[in-house]
Amino acid sequence: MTTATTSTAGAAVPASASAAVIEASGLTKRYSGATRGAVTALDGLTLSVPAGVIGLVGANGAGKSTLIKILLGLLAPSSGSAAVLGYDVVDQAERIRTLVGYMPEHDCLPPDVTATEFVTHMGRMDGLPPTAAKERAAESLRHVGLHEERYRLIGTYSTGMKQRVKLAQALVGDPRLMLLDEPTNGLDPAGREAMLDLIERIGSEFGISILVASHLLGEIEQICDSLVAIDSGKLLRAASMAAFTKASAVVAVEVDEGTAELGAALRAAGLSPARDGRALLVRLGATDAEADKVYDAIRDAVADLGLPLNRLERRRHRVEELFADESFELDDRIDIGTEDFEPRGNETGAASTTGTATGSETDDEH
Amino acid sequence: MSTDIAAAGSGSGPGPGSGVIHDIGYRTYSGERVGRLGIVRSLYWHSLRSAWGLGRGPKAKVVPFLALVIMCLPAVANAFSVSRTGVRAIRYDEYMHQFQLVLVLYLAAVTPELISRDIRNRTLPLYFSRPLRRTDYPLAKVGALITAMLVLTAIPELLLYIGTIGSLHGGSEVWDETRSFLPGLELAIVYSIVFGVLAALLSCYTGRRAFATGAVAVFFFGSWVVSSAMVHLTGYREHYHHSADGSGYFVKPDTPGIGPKISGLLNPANLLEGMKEWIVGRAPDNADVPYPGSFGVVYLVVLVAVCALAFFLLMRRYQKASLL
Repeated sequence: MTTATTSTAGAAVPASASAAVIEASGLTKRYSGATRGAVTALDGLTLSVPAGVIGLVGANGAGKSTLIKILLGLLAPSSGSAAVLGYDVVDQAERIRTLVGYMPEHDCLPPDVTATEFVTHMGRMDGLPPTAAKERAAESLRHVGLHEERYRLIGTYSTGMKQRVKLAQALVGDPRLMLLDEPTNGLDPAGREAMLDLIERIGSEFGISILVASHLLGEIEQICDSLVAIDSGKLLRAASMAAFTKASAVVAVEVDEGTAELGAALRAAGLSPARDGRALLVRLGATDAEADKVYDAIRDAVADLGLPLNRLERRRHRVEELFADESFELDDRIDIGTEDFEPRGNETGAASTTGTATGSETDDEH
Repeated sequence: MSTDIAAAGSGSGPGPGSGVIHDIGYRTYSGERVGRLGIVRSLYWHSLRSAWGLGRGPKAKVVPFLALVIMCLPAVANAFSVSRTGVRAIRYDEYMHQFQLVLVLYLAAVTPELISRDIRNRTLPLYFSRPLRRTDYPLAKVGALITAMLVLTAIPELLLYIGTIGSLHGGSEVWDETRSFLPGLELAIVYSIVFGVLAALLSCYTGRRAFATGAVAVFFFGSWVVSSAMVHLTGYREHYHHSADGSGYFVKPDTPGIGPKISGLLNPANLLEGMKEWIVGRAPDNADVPYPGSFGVVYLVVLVAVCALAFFLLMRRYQKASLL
């Protein structure tokens, strides 16, 4: 038993930072409800995610929260196995829970204490001695942007402030990994932006790996290093963000006139341009050499036709379109599993315009 | 900006990531961590303090300390009465039974705070996502509740003892007094455990404070009314009473039958009272519960069974996934 454990968190962290922080193999969770019948929340999930900020996207009810609870050892998997930071979720759950900070989706704060008192108490529950708990509570609250407000009762807080307190209590124990379940829930656009910045900062500057669950892919893709998409408990795809964006890079060509001729010329050159408003979107290849060829073809086509080139711009294609279909269908934009699609204002991507794109002739290189 | 508070920290040193070159403010914690039992102890202590309103607002202190004052009044009155007249105001082994309503009042006010609050606020997932095991949380809570009750039950007994021996003369008198005090203290402990476990169980099924208060109050008070009424309805008389034939004579109480003895099982306080009588071997003249005789072993069995069941249900309650 762990009676006299005075170990440091650092000693328990696997040495290699590049080791998978979350691994799952055939992970399955079935609920056998007497009234609602059997529900399969997770279905044979197999994945391995490296350190960094990890996005976990899926519709409401896709199994995100179930996965997080299994990773915390709060729910036992029906079959399969999973490991967090190299520790098995069934046999070494306590070990995992000393290294992981959890922010639940729902409200979980008592209204009748101050944020300082609450986060300090939660620090004690992480095993911190009294003085250290106080110091780390003050630090955590400062890191999440609560300064003088932290001496006020939580009941007087706005939703955004409460979300920050929830984040602070997950941070107070100096975790190696944070599991954040819908951290932007209930926040207004500015609040979402601030929360995402905060998460990105914790991930990049604090060196803490973070799993962010969200039903809004568009929201978290900008802060993630890797992405895991699940739907109805099944894994859609898990890959690094770089792999996603590389495969999805497009170049937008805009000419003042003769767009149709340019399109035909590009098609003749073996490319598959897609119309996007006034521009043509041409997919760049997965490698730099292929991309160079595409650029050359566009340059030649424009020059041969003598068209007035207005814009030639590389766009990072939004990942969410990829989940619609592996064949990169531009007109079939999917906002993965949600009805409230929210375009992000400061994004340079083509999110708000790709919906109008026609044609799906772009060839599939996957 | 970011190091002003952190620099004062004794436990938190600069982590491996935040070095000289790129101090970005976040400090990892490499200091000591207490293990699981240390966390349980910390939760126990935190809960014990809240049970007495410490670390909470002034309003939270009203009921606990009011209850303590009421509980202590007889002991204080006894000290005066013994020193002036030599007459005892109250016996050690009757104290808890006679003032059980104060105990119930205290529990009805405090248990919801200790148990239901975390269910209502849905704070439990935060505890369970930490190194604590599922059973650690209710263990710490019920332990704190029992200890808090012990403060409320043992201090009056102790005051009663101190107030009495202050007026006694000679070692043998003090020794005799001590010998009657110790069972009182034991009763205080047993009352704390039984009442604490039952009240904790009654509160753990609801997040609504009012429901938990109501459940505790209705269970203890209601069952006491029912049990005591049943004891009399089934024929027990603790005092001389009018004869039933209308002759106007006062008659001595009969030896109680099985009815009153069974009725005594229906309430925790009466159960404890009957068990005490059985262990002591006699009932006081005006006992609320008849002397159970050989039936006393049933009292003991029921008491142990009820407590064990309550404890089991309490632990099982916190295994439920629905609390997450």
